[in-house]
Amino acid sequence: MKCVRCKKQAEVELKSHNAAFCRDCFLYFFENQVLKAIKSFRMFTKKDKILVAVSGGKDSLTLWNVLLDLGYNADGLFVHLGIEGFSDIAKGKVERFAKERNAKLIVVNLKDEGIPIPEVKKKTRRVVCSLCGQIKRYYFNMVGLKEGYDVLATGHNLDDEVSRLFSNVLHWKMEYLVDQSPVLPSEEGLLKKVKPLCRVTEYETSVYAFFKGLDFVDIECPYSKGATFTMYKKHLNQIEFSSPGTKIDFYQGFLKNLKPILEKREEKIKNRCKICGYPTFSDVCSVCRLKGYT
Amino acid sequence: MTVDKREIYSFDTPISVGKILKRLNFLPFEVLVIKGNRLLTRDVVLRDNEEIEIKTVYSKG
Repeated sequence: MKCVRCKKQAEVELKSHNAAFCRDCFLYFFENQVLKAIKSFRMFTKKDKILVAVSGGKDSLTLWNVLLDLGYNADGLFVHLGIEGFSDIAKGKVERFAKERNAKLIVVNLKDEGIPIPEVKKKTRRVVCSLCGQIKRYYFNMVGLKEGYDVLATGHNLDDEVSRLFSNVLHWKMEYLVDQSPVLPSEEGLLKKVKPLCRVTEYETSVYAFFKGLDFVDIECPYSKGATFTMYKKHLNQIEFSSPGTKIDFYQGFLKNLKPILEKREEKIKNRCKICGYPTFSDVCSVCRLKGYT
Repeated sequence: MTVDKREIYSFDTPISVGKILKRLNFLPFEVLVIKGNRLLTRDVVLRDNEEIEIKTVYSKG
């Protein structure tokens, strides 16, 4: 198979783009897809101070790497979850990356905050993955605002977005569908949030990480076993294989056709947490409740 | 050849990468097929005692 740009031996085949690429041309393609997302959704400019939420996984390290390579002003934020045999390894990978790239890294340790995930798991009957996500989003937002960042960038890729959309449509979770977007604008108390990898698939991100030699966490979080989205991703991959391009069509069709209708009926959060000021539907936000405030 | 959790499989050669993926029930974009420091596309044919590594690409959360 030959590269469609330069005719050298291809290393990557992308059926959804009807293309195959050699290493150099793939990296050019990948950076262009990220730039296209940043520009078409007006995510940020070179003047903005960007905070990248990094977990140590391939997606977040890929995002941080590509933003630095493209010349953006991007720092990292790592939330240490306090999960034995996982969080320290992830922290080590992120710290090494930051050191190699001479980039600024902020670390929040949930043990210091009184809510390490293993303790949270003991305290609640809720699915710990959703609470963990809620806690991380809380600190991404709080740290970003406190440290004067313009925008928070996360490593969600096209497969993440499509599986989430698929799940929200299957269960008609209207409140989540309203919030599903590559860009969530800033509001009072909420930092602008963006997903610059929303045009690239999990496979493309993995290829980029491989070509760039990124050293990322390759072990599964012990609490994430059997996550529903992974099952949806497998089903969606079968559809994509039979009909290449379905994933991006599904996602872009949603953004173009359904999202504008949903936005009209959106209910804005009006309350602020009386403890920390974080936007919430009740008097005290869920993170402050976990910390014992009522 | 190594598959994810370090399982080793052998196949009669010559055989294409695409055929190996099909026999192991992988879709081409679910895995990286690695030989040395290069990725291989589905059409590449393996001969003799060539070895490849197959890594799944799912996020591990």
